[in-house]
Amino acid sequence: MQNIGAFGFAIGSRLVTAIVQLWVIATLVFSLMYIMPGDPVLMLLGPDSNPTPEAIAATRAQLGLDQPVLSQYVKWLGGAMQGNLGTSLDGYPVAQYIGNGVFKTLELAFAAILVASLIGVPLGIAAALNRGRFLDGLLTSVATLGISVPVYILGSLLILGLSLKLGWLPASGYTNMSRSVAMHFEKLILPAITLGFGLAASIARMTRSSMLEILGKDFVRSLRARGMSERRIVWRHVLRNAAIPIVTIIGLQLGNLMGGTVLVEALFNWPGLSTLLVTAVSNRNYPLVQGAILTIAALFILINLCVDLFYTLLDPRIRRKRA
Amino acid sequence: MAGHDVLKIEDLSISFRTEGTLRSAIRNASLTLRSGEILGLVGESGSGKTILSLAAMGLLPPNAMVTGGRVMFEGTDLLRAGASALRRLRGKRISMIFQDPMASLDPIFTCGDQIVEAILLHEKLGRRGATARALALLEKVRMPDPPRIMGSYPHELSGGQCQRVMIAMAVACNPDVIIADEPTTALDVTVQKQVLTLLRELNAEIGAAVLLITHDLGVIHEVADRVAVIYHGDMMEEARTAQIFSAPKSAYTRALIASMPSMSPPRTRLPVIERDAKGEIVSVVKPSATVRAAPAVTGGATLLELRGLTKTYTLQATPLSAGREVRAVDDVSLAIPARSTLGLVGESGCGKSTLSRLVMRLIEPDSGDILIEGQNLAGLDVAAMRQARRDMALVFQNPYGSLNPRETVRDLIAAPVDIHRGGKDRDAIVARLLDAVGLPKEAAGKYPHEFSGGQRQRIVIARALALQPRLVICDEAVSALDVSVQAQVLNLLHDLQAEFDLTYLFISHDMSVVRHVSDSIAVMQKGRIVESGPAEEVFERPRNPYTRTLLDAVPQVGTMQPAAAEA
Repeated sequence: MQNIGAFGFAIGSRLVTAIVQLWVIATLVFSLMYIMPGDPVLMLLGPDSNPTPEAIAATRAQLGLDQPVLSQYVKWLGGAMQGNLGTSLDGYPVAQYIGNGVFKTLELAFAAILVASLIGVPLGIAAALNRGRFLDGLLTSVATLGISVPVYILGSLLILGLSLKLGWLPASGYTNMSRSVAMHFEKLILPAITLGFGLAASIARMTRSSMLEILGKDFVRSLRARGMSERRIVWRHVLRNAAIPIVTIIGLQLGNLMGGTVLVEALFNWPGLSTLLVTAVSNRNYPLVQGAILTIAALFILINLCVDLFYTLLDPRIRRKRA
Repeated sequence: MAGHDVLKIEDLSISFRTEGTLRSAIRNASLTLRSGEILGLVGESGSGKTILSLAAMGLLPPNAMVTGGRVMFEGTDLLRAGASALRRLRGKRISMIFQDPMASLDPIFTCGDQIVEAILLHEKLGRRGATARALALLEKVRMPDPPRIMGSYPHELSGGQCQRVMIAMAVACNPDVIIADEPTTALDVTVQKQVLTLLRELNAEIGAAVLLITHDLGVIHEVADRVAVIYHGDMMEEARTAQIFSAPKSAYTRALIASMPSMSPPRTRLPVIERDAKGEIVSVVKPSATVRAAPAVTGGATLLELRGLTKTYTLQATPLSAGREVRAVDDVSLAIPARSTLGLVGESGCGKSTLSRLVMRLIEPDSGDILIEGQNLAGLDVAAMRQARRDMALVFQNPYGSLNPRETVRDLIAAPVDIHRGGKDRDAIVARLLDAVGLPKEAAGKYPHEFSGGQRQRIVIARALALQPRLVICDEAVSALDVSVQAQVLNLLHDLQAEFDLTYLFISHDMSVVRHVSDSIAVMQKGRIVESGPAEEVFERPRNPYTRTLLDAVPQVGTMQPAAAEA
């Protein structure tokens, strides 16, 4: 029972940490408004117009910017906790924009991770099992290449080849699932591959080194000495042990993708969070910038939390610490 | 009781491929394992004993090449058998027990799962039948509460318990041959005794042939029927155990037995193994390199005195649950006279390493006094403590881990001088210290990886002496070394004590080493000193029951006349 208590506490303390992280980020995001150059009120009224001081004051009051900073902060934080991220400068609720973008970015990120894992894990295993042979060298070089090719070059090449020349897949854009399921997934493929390719390479390398580490352990030799077949050793024992760092890496990469989809979203005209954020920054739409950053950070923290809990479940040494 | 021949290693030669060349590891080795018999294979590190055992399982690493000979088991040559034929033999007919039991179990499966899996690999029992068999096996290896062990992960068990699980798996299918490679080296001496007794009994019960590989002659003496001695890939001799110890034929065996600390009177120089001008192995007692008159004062003033030293750790199952106090060091009082050696013995986890760190205040004590020549270290501030540490030095167990591989020996040895004296006279000091520990001057420009384990420990000792300390704490300083190398390092420590007027706090789990080096002994159990006194008294007339248990558990080569002395 004590073991379960220890594990429960580990989860609890991890949750508390996540909440504190979120609060710190929320505070930083709020203060962005005061750190960044430019007056949002002037932006809202139009850069070319020549507003009267009365008009500026009126808009300021309308946005709540005339109140003391502390009360603005409390109001903003209270709203954020309830999912109310304020009003965009164009009058729509920020939450509505975020809601539109967040699932598209999540979908793209998950698709990319899926592509990356499906390619990376088997290649890593193959390389590890053929260590030092031709296949290992080949896979390792390809992986290095995969990491070093910039996303926009790979994306451009894929668009050029697969859609413009061959016409197999649409070049860019987004189709709502309710309009056409087939179109929706067709448009997902290219950005997912572009985003996932580099990740596949790093996952493959991680898988390879993790597998090799476990293959060198004493217990693998013991299993052989017990007459177990290589196949069973690899699939049942080595892979399960190696999976712990691999899952961690995959999870962390997924977290990184939350803010790392900018180039791919831009290249494929994917209307996700990153696109939203870029547009908001260039328009100095501060409420929207705040909301987008907060959402990205929250997702990052949430995903990391899930990864931590997940690999704790995988590893009995963490799950059941000796009391 | 010796039965029929089961496994025969005939004229086996093995080489390793390294960078295009072949390095010979074993030359023309022959061994016969007989049913119901324990054959001990003794050798020091690098002698090829583990390679020989792996060859017997057909488990040689890919870069090993068999250049001649065969390993015969029931008419099959294991070196040339196919993979599937080998798999059917491994674990069922021939099983193996390895050195590090914790690392030899898969950490993410329960012990029960692993035993059941081992059984099902070779027997058509069904899961339920295999589980019943596993429980019976755990009972057989005398595990308390088998159902709990079945559901435990390896990290939840002690090293001794893990080794019992390994043994349970090894005997699961009643094998004909059991190969045990240093099965007790990682275990405490009392646990070692239990495991060896268990092996002995199981061997009698199932009648398997056991190949027991070890560097420890005491273990061999305790359990083996016959002994084979291997040295640098050559079999030196093979004989019945009693005969090896009473009348060893080969010069190496004689020298090896003679270099055991228990074979020489305490506080004397140990014989070391060398080759003479003709290349023959000889055992020689070399006089001290630096001859010096005995120190003017012996056993006078007290150098180090500990009074009521206590350190408590609080263990909590969860940060919210009530803490359980563990007294790692509990009210320890000790006194070491100047220029003498206090041996501190105890099993793993008894608090002896914590004590050594408390003395230097690398860990802060909760209460108690640490007096060096009357100065109480416990009350010193950080700056004063740093000054006081110059008088003390620590030598750790692992000479591989305690030397930074990226620094030259010169920089390593001079580091304390650089820190405390701004590098004054560093080259002269390094040269003098290298000479003192018996290393050539050229060693200064080399890196640690260019030295053997014993040489590295000499470098560590030289560094410890750099600031001319008065107290040297040796924490298992010779435990990682082979017997013959250990003898050299013990001799060195002995010489240095006279030359530099050193006082040693010598911490070890090895009773025979402690017996050899110590003037006085303290026995530690669960943080407390349960017995202390002059070495001879504690060893000959132990008063405390724990001391007696500890001494009884030490495998004895017996009181027989050391063979080397006769030769």
